[in-house]
Amino acid sequence: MTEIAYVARMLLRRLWTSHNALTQTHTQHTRHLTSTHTHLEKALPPRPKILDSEIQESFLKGSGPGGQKINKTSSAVQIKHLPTGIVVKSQDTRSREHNRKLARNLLAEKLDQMEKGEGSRMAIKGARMREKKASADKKARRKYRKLGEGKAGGKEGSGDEGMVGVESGAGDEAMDGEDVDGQAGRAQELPPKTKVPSPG
Amino acid sequence: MPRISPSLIRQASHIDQRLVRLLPICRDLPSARNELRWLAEHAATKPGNEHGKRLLEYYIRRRARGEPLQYILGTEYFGDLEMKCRPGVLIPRPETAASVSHLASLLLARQLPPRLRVLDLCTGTGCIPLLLDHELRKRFRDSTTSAEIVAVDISPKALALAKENLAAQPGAADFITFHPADVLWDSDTNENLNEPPSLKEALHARHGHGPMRNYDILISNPPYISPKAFRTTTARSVRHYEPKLALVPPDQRTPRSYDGVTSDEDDAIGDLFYPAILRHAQDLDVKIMLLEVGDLAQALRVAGMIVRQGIWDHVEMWRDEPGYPVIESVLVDGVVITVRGRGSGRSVFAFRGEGRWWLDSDISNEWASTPVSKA
Repeated sequence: MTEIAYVARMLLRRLWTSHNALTQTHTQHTRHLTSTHTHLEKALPPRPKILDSEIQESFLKGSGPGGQKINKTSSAVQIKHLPTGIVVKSQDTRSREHNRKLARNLLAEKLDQMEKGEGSRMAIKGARMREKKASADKKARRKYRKLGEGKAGGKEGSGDEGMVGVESGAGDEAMDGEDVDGQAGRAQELPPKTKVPSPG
Repeated sequence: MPRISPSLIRQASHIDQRLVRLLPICRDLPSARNELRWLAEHAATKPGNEHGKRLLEYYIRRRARGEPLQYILGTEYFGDLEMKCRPGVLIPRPETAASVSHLASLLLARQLPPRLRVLDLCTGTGCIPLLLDHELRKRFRDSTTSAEIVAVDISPKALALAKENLAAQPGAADFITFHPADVLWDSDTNENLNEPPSLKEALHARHGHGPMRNYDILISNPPYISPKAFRTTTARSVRHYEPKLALVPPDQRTPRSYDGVTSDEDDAIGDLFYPAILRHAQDLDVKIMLLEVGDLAQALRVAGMIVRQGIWDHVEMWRDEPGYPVIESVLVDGVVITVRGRGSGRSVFAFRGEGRWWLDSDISNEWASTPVSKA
């Protein structure tokens, strides 16, 4: 029941804002009510292109005989970027070809981050995520402050970071914020289900 | 096989007891973790999820006993393609895919005959024709060239699976056909209707009787493991679960004596398919040939056979990663032979006549400087 009430409230609010949007001039950035606003955002800058001549690729399958004599299941791919010495590894999928693409994407994002810092694809992605999270938090706080006077509902909508557990050999800082696009916002917006006080 | 260190077992048991059971077959922790994840993902796709745990348990038990992961999951990736796999048919190997892709990358769409004719012997799952077709159609997108691929195998199980794999690749059925044939049996007529036909008979059946039609490219990954190597160097999971028919050539010595096989005799059994394939290549007027081999020693023996056949303009050996920019050369029967790439010796490549003009010119210029001729 609380879910239905929640959806109804969201719909009402959306109507209200779109009404406001029609009557008021846009002095401020439209508030994000759902996480499906990505089409309004500017496209992320592309990943930098990596030349094949700049990388050294190796397939990690150990030494010894190959071909018909063995049957290794390792599809891991490791690439080393020769100018910087950065090494990334991908072994997520059973397809070596797919792992090659994944490893190249990872490397591209790492290089981008090194080169551009704040202006890099990952940094922009991360900043957008934080912005969404902050606005969701703020909204949640405001809501619960209003609704939750004296009640137990004043909890902030935090907790689940929405990080999808993709295990990757190179899954360190370059992976942060990956795969959560659009999900974190949703996760943050949903208040803890059991503690939603019904309106009125 | 070295034992798994106790510290590694302890490390695995801290993460997940199931990893400990997969360690002996996977040999290292990252592989065990990957395989456990893939098995769990596969179990989750099966209907009737209430038994998901039990199904996963069953998969782990089979894998821990040594059954190849690809037979449990039912597929293996080969280049960009996912091929169906079943017991009784050899699982495609990534090294084969690397050789096939490298060959495709050398072919020049504009120079090739408009209807390129390719023959694949001992096709197994059909992985080679399917990947070659996939790569060539990518490469020929802007030209009118197309490839017609005929692939044969002696095993009815392999042919049935190859046809399933063909049906799973959109559009491939227009370019590829599979036929039963015995590559080793050299005969024009099929005397025994219960036996698979000879290659010539199979090709006659394909094209109709009359003068034998030629083929431009011949590829093969035949059985190439000698009986001794099968007993001593083949991985347990291969030896116990994959079909020996696809791995070890038949012992055709008469009379067969199992004691006292010299190492030369043993090698000769391992090499049994290559002379037969070379004869077919000559009879079918093949211009480009790519044959997989077990290691560099076998590559040297096969390169020797090709040089002695005396009809080829250029021979080279490819390693596991033939595109890797390292080139060495070795002397075979007084001829300097290029060894290309990185890894174990994996295949022998040869061309002649027009074949030269179908291949990337940068490389064929380099080839022009080292013609195969008896010194």
